[in-house]
Formats: sequence, C-alpha cells, structure tokens
Amino acid sequence: MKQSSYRRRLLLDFLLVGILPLVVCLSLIFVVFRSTILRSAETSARSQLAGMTACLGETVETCDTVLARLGQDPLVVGALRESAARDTQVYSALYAAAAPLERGADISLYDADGHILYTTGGGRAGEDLASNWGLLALAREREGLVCRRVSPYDTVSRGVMQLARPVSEGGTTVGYAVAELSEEQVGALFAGMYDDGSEIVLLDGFWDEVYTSPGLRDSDLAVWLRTQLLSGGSLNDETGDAEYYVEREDLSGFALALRQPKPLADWVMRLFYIIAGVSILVSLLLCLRVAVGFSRRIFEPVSSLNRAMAQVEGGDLDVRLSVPGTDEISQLSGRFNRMTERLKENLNESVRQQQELGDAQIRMMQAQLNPHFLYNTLDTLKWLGKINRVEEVSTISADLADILRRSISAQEFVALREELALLERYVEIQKIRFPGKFEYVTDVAGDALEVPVPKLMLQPLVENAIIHGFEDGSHGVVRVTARRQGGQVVVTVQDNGVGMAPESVARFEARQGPEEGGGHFGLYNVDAILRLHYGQDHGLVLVPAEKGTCIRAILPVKEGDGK
Amino acid sequence: MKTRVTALLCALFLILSACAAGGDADLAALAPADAERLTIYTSHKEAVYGPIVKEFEERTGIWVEVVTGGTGELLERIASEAASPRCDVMFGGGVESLLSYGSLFESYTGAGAGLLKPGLRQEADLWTPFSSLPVVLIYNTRLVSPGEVTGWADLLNETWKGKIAFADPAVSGSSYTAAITMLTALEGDDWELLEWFIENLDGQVLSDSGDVVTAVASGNCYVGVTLEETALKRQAQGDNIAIVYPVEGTSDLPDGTALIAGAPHRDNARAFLEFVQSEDVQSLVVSDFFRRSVRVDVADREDLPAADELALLDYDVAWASAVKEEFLRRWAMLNGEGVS
Repeated sequence: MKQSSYRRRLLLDFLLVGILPLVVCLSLIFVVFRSTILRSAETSARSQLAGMTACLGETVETCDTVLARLGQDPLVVGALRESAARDTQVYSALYAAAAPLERGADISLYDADGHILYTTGGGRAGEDLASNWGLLALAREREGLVCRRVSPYDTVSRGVMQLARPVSEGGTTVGYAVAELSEEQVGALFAGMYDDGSEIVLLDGFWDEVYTSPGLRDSDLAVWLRTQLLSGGSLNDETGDAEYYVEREDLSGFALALRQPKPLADWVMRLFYIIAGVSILVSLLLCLRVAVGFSRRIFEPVSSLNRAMAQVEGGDLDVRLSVPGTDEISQLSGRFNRMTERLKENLNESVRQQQELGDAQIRMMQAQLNPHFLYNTLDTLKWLGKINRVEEVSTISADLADILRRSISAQEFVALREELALLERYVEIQKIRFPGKFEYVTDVAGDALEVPVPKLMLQPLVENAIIHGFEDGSHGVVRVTARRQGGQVVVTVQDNGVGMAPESVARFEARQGPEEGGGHFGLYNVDAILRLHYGQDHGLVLVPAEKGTCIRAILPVKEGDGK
Repeated sequence: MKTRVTALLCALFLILSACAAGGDADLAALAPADAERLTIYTSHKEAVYGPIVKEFEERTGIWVEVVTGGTGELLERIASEAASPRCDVMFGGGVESLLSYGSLFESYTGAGAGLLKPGLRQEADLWTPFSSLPVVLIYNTRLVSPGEVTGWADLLNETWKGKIAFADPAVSGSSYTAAITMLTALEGDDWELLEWFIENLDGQVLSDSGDVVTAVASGNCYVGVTLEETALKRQAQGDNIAIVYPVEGTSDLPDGTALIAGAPHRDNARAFLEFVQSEDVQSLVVSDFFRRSVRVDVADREDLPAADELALLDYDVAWASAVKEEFLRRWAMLNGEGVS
C-alpha cells in the first residue's frame, strides 16, 4: 500500500512538473498573441475610421462652400426670385460652382416653394421638396447649412443624404441650394478606405441609418447601435463576432460606425485550443510514461528486497537477490546478500557449539554414573583400611570419595580455592601410587582464591603433567600458580618433565583433536570447556619452557566475582 | 507550493483581463444628455410616427426613444410604471382607451388648443387630439352595386347575412367604436339590435381590424365596417372597394396624444405635444396619412365629404366606456350560441 501511494505521489509530481509550465507558457503566449492582434486591429480600425470621417468632413465642407457660393451668386438669386425657367447662364454658373465636387454630389436649386428649378443630376423635373417640412423648412429656420438623411418615406428624392442652404435676398428666403448624395456617391466616398471584411454605417445626427456598406443592407444594425447608445449599453461584448468603432463628424453632426470582424476569428481560436489540447495531451502521456518507468525502476528492486526480507523474517536464509548494476539499489541488494550469508554462517557456528557442549555434558554425565554406589563402596574401603590398619587404602578411599563428591556436584563453576582442595586430594592419591616420583607445589595469590573457575579444570592438567611428564620414571616438580592481573586471572600448570612431543604440540595448536590412542584427552577437554565458557580466545596456551610443559589459561574474572 | 501556484494563476488572470478591448468610452461621449431625451410609447404604425418623430428630432435636437405596441398593452405598461414613469408621451390610442386610463395623464393645454375642431378637444385637456377617424362602411365594387348599401340598417338586412366583414370588438378598439356607433345611430333597443346584428354576422367574426378590408376586397365578404383612414389607404393601394358614409350618421372619434403624469422629460414631452398639433404635422396627417386634421385651419382633402356633411352623431364616450363590459359579455354569449 505504501508503495502504491508513493507511486501516485510520484505521478502527481511528474504531472505538476510536466503540465504546469506548459499550461503557463501556453496561456502567456495566448495572452501576448491576443493582445498584440487586438491592439493592432484596433489601431487600424481607428485610423481607418478617422480617415473616413475626415473624408466625410471634407466633402461636407466642399458642399457647404459650393452651396454658399451659389447663394451669393446674383445670377442664381435672381433666377430663384423669379422662379425663372431654365436658363443656360444659370446652369453654367451651377456647373462651375459644382466643379470642385467632381460629381461627388448633385447640386440643385429650389425656389421658395420647394419647386426644383436647376439640377446637375438627372432630369428630375417635378421632383419637388416640401418647403414647410423636412430639409427646406429646417434650412430656412436655421438660416445656414443643414445636413439630413433622406427619409425612407420620401418617395421623391433618390439620394440618401441632402445638404441645404437657404438663398436669401434682403432678409427673405427666395430659394434653396441643395446638394444630394446618392447611395453610390456615398459609397464611392468611402471606397477602399476600410478593410475588406469590415463594414461601415453612416448615421445621421440622431443615429438613424443614412448609408450602409453593401454587406450590411437590411441588417438593422443602425437600430441596434441607436438602442445601445440610448440605453447606455456596450457596443463590444465578448460574445459578439465583431468590434464596433464610432466617430462623429462635427460639421454635419453625422456619425460613422465601423464594424470590424473580431480579429481573432473562431477558427483561429479553435486551432489554438486544438494545438494547446494536443500538446497538453502529449505532455500528459509523456509524464505518465516516465512516471511509470521511473517508479518501476525504483520500486521493483525495493519491493523484491522487501519480499526477500519477509522471507528472511520467516527463517529462509538461502534467499539471494540479483545484483543488476552498481547503483544504490544494487548496492543495497549486495549488502543484503552479504548480510544473509553472514547470518547463516553465524547460525551454523552456534549450532555446532551447542552440539559440542552437549557432547561434553554427555561425557561428564557418563562419568557420574552411579556415584552413590561408589561412595558407599569407597566408605567401606576406608573403614576396612582403618580396621586393618592399612592407612594408604583408607586415605585413597577418603580422597577418592571426596573427589567423586566434588566432581558430581551440579555446580559448573567453583572457587579456585575449592578446585585447589580437590587437586590436593588427587595429588595425595597419585603420591601414594607413585611415591617419590614428583613434588607438588602451589603458588596462588590470596586475591585469586575466590575467583570462580570451571569445575575440574586443573585436575586433567595436573594429571597430564604427572602421567606424560614423568612417564620415563624421572623425578620432577608440578607447580600450579595463579595470579590476578586486572580483570583476568592467570592460571599456570608447569612441570619439569620430558615435555610434549613436537607433533603433539603442533597438533594441539592446530586444534585438530587428540590422536587415536594418543592421550592428552584431558588437555583437549579442558581447552574445549574453557573455549565454550569464555569464548574462542580463552583456550589453553602452551607456553614454551626450557624443560617440561607449561600450560597457561587466562580467564576473565566475571563482574562481581573474586572478592 | 499551493499558494505559489495560486499566485501564479492570479497573475495570469490579471494579465488576461487587462487585455479586454476598448472602444465603449467613445460611445458614452456620444450619447445625448438626459435633458435631450424623450421617451414615446406609440400604438401608431411606423409610417405614421416615423416621419413625425424624425422631424421633431431635427427641429428640436431632442433624441426620441420610441417604444411600439398595442394601445391596451402600452397603457397597461404605463399604469404598471406609474410609480416611476419611464414614458413621457403616449402617442396614439382612441379616446375611449385613453379615457379609461385618464388618471395616468397630466392635462396640458397646447398653444393651438383654440384652433382645435369643436367636439374633438378633451374637456380637461388630458390629451391632445391627433387625427379624427370617421367610421365608414365599405363594399366590394364588383359584388355590390352603388346604392345597395347606404347605412347601418343594411347591416341588419338578411340580404348580407354571413357576408359582413366585422372585427372582434373584444380585440379591436375601432370595431367596438363602430358597434357603439351603429347602436347609437339605429332606433330601437340596443341589446335587441346587437342580437340581430350578431345573427346577421352568422358567426363570421374577424380577429383583426386589418382583415376587414382584405375580406371585402378579396370577395370573401361583400360589405365591411372599418375606419375611413384604413379604407382610403387601401383604395390608394388599388383595392376595389368603395366607401359609404352611413345615412344615419357616424362618429369621428379622434385618437390622442397624452402627457404622462410624472414624466421624466416633461418639457420635452410638452414640446412634442405642441408639435403634433402644429399646422405642419396636421398638414402631414391630411396629405400623407389619409386622416382628417383636428385643426380648423388645416383643410381636409378636397375629394372627401366635409365633416359637417357626415351627419356626425353625438357619440357618448363615457357611456361607451361604461357599457363595454356588458357589451362584450353579451357579444361573447350571443356569438358563442350563434356558432354552435
């Protein structure tokens, strides 16, 4: 479970590292891209609009100039006052005045009642205007330039916008000079001044439609613009598919609206979203793949290590891991292998020691066979010896019984003092057996007397010295010394006999065990017991001596002992 | 870690929102001030209110916001907005309708009030009459000979049973006015007359007043009841119908223009009221709208019979309003029986 949670955390981290920078980058790119495009589109729209407004203003100004000049022409004033019929002189003045317009507008002259008298447009006799309503009424009232859209209910006029100036003589209005722009003329005015995809709407002073570019015919855009203006609404919202820009031309009071398609069309946005989506997806898959691979590389060795440890826990020390490389995980696996190997060796060793200890105990138990019978017998012998006045028998029996009693006691350790007492008994027996053959000397420091030592550790050594040291019948001394040296007690058994054969010494030092029928069993037994009790470093040591054999045991004094 | 990510996202959002497009600032600069505005609710068709509103704007510089709808609908709306009126002027609507919502209006006596035709001016000047609209009979010139239909009595004649085009008075105000005019013109008990008339309709009731001329012109019906204005307009468009001014007399109820009480742009509204009863507009009413002027100094079309030749009845507007509920109840009941 732990493992899978690590895996998930790893995956999350990878996703964070892989996706987040990508998303941030994409967003930033998008923002910069978008703002650049929008700004450049807005700039171009505004400059186009400003250009067109200026052009409209110029045209209106030119018309105004032309109309004003006509109104001051005495020939024209006279013709209007008299509602004169078509006069070539007046026409010539009219055309001359209209020349600056380059046929961008038709100029007409109306009399005071709104009857058309002269026009540069098509033959439109009878196309009269009301003098008490609309354009002419307003021109008379304002006594100056009036600029109006042509009402959609006006069935007479053909144009879309009209400019008029009253022609006065001595304070009375005698007629009107009117400039009229048809749809084509207005269209020509703005032709090529805005982008192909854009559309324009010319609005009058109250935002009613005067002219729209061909793409917007019947679109009701002007109505919408006016509604937005009056309701305080917005022309540009996020959902619309176009941006709107409006500018007012001051001379005419007309307003020009430019409709620019959103510079970031839907398909551009869609493309961007698709690209962003695909790159995020690819990065996502890559992250997944890398995270899975990474977690497999790390966690599979860890989990096999985990499994192997569980096996070791269950007691199987034969399990080994493969070590594929030199990385940290492989090192860990190698260490694990070595550890289990060492563990197994230790286990085997301890089993072997247990076995050896068992064997020694069995041997000792065998030696304790039927002790009470032996006691009683020895006691009988002692008394027989006393009764028959054979002192040696009595002494040997008493010594033997004492040795026996001590040796079969359940204690494994005894004080060195007691061990020496037992040794005393033994030596007494041996002295009776071999009268005059050896001398026994002890030299034990007082502070070493109470040190506990393994029971029966000295007797086999002394026996070894007596039996093997003096087997050629020579006379010698057996010396047992003991000294405290710090936390240790040094016990030495030395004789000045013939000494051990060199091969026996070599054999002993190699710990190869006693040779068949060879003897020195006691030596080996004591050595084994000491090693079992105190460790491998505390066995018997053969100290080289000039004559005879010198055996030394250096035993640690256990805490609290030896007072 | 988490806070850092959040901070990053916030920064991103700020950058994004900083990039919103501009352009609306110019719009606010171009919008007219509140003092230069006027809101008009009108039940007139665009052909009528369009030129008048435009001319008003051009002459005064006041921006007019027009809301269109049916008379009843707009008056209801004004009533619901009475606490804080949005509308300044109710332009259009028969006097009967205006009278029943009289409490919504503020009286205003225009400069030309003295020049209004007698009988058309409201006593309290709660509204200004805009045009006078006589009720007439029409017939299909191919199906009916001249002189066959002369007055209201013919509508009760069995000859035309099931051939009369008449709009539902529950829907059409002008149709109700026509029905009351007929009941006033004819002698006898009003409810009996109504019963006869409904019997003669033979279950044929048109749902819209505009359908009357269509039904007659197309030959579905032989005779019809409508307003002079509608008939003249359709005649001008070439429909083969003839107009009969009933011999028993008829009504010429005007429609009106009312100043809303508590209007937000009161001065501009008054200017508009002055304008609609001005000589210029009244001339337009006659010349362009096939209607009759409400001013004595503006002559009606010469080809029409003069107002005093119409034998105008004394149409009791108050009574007409009072019996409307009873009338419609009987109308629905009798018609329901007539159909089944």
